[in-house]
Amino acid sequence: MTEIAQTLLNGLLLGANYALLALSYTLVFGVLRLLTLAHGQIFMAAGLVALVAADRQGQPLIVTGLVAIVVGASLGVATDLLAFRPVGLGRPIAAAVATIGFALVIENTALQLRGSSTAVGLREPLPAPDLVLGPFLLSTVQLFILAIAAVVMVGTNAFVDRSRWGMAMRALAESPRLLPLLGIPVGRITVLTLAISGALAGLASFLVALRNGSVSPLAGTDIGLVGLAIMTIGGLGSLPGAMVAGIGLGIVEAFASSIGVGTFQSAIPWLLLVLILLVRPHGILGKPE
Amino acid sequence: MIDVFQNDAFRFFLLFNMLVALGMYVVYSTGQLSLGQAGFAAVGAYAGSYVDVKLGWPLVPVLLAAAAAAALVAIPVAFGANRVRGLYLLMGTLAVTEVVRVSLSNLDAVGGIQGIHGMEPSGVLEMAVVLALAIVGVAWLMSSPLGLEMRAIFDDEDAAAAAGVSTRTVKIIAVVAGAALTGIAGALFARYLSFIRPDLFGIGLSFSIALYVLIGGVHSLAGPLVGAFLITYLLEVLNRMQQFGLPPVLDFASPWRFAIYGGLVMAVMAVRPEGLLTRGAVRSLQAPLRRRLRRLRTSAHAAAIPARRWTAGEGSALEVVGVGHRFGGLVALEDVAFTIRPAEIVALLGANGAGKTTLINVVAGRLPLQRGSLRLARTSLGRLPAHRRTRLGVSRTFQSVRVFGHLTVGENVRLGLRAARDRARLPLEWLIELAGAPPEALARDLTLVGQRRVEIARAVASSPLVLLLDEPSAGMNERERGELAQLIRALRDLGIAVVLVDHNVDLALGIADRIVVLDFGLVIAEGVPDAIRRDERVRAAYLGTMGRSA
Repeated sequence: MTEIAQTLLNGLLLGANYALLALSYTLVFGVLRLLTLAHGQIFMAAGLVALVAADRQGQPLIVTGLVAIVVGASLGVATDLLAFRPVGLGRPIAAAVATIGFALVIENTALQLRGSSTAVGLREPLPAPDLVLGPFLLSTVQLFILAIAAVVMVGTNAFVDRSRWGMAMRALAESPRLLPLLGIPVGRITVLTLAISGALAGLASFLVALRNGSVSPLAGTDIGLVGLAIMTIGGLGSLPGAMVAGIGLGIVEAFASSIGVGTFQSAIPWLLLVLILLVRPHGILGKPE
Repeated sequence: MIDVFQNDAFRFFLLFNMLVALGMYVVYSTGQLSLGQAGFAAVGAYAGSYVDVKLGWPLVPVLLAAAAAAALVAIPVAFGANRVRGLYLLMGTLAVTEVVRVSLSNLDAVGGIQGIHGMEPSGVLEMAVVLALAIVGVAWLMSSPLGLEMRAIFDDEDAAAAAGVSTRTVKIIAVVAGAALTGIAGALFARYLSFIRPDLFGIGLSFSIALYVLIGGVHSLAGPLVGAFLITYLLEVLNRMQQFGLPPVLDFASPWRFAIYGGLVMAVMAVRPEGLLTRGAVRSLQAPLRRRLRRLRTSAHAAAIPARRWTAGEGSALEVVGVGHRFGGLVALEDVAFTIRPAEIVALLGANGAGKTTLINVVAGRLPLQRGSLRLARTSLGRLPAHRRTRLGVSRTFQSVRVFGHLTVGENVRLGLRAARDRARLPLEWLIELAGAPPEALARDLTLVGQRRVEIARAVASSPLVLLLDEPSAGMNERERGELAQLIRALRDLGIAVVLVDHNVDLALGIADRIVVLDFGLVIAEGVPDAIRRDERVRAAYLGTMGRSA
């Protein structure tokens, strides 16, 4: 019994990370109805730059985290300016293809500037004394990650639901052609959306780096695709869906890992995706278009 | 200066990429953007290598086995793909690639992560022969009626169903055929390398294959081939930059080749979002046949319609009995009943929200029949899907024009003709006249009214027993409306039962034999136009707008 509860807990911690990543995709898709395929690379680049430019220079962790967020946000804005805007909002496939191009640019740049494909490690891995709570073992780093992820998820949701800008974002998702007629600056909303989304990816990257202790210049594609899979499982454009799916996947993976499924572990998000889509063609909380 | 074409491996992969692009083209022609192609290539490569190494089969049976295995795996994928659309399809098929790769890594019968070794080698020549055959085959497919249906689905799936296309079947065929072709490519790839491993068929390959088609353009056979050729060639040239004896300044290009490629992808999408070769571009390379748009001259041509009739002279063409429809809690149709005979024009009138379009959607099968019954001549329409109803003789146009933009006017009409089945067919020339535009013009290049005419011509082309026209006169000027009225009368005289929904009350009262007035999902009045003009309830429902036309 305790073993099951422990696995559940581990899954929750892993899932919080996933949820944060999926949230960054969902924000873009939910508001702009556009798919960005560069977020995995943004995630990678934000973590890499933060480790090289801040952590390795002896900066405290808080600075490293802020650098990751700022780099993520900047690359998010660049996605909008370089990939989305030249194509236009009405062409979802061309826009997604353009972001593949941008992903290639980011990844190639990271590899060239790094000079090698080896991972960059944290200056000193966090002391992670396991916390013993009754029968449960917890790592403080993971609790920290969970706390930040929870705050950011609730905050993002509240921002989109309550604030004026959030309202404008939802309006844009609803009817992109109407907004300019109401005098709402569409360009500013798309930039803001991608900045927030990129910042979330940067933050997720920093948190993952804390957990894993390193970032690899080649990590972008895989993690990016898992983020996409989670968004799809949750239902495109649904923020609560992304969170449910992220945490759900974390728990499923934790149980699979405790049973031991070998190399099938890496296929779990995809198997889950296929199963969910067969039962619910619009994901867990998605709405039919 | 060196010639990249002298490199055997380059030549092989150039042809390989063109072949897989062709496989993707077949799938994506129906609008299904599949990222499962690497998975299908893997299945073909493994099946081919297995029968080669373990059973010693020769080349042709190996390729057939590869095609069959890939097609077999594609069948459940195709059925699954039919349930989802857009990004869900993209992610679902991407999952297929990943699941296939991991499954193969864990399958000891095919060597696990070590893969299979020691296949009989085959090279560029075999690849070239297969590619040539594939090009001929795909060109034939895409110009066949099936290819026409595939391209129609790309443009508008609902409208394709309304034009009588069994969208489900066609989409499944496309996925399976594309997978078979990709499987063959995989087997040739395995033979060229003489070994095969699961990690050669990752998600990256699926994305590359998709890019060939998306960059090249999906609206012509040349698009995917050109896309695959240019991308492969570009990356190879960039890779070997130093060997060209160019100024050293340019040496940066090799290490930065993927960034350069990425930048070009972004630039191409910004300038040509539909890919390098659009259908328009391909056609403008051909002899331009821009004839002046011909005027619609229905009155002159009505006489030219063959006297052969396909419609029954007796009984009712369509019976609507007690039909109700709800959207959640909103009652769109309460209890609607009316009958229309052959050779009769019935106009449905009613204010916005009265349920007119909902009724058309229920009759055409776009919305399910929730309550009541529908009979076409003597057939119950019950739960038949939209395309079956069109084939039985219920044709429609949409309130917001829905033509197949990337198809020519002639192709739009031909698609309609296919739904006529065993009913007498109207002559193609007459239908083209009806469409009012040169047959070789792309439908999306026409004005809105021009597109509406094409849509009407497509609906009429199926020789319907019942024709449902939803706002056909929207956007038309006085003269065009007059011509439309003449056309509708001509169609009635052919024996077609016409159900007309139009905001232009003058038009409706002018040409209808009978009027059915809907208000909040109920029939509040029914009768000849003169009686309807005088009806108090109708006046009340319309708040006096009817008075003007009296």
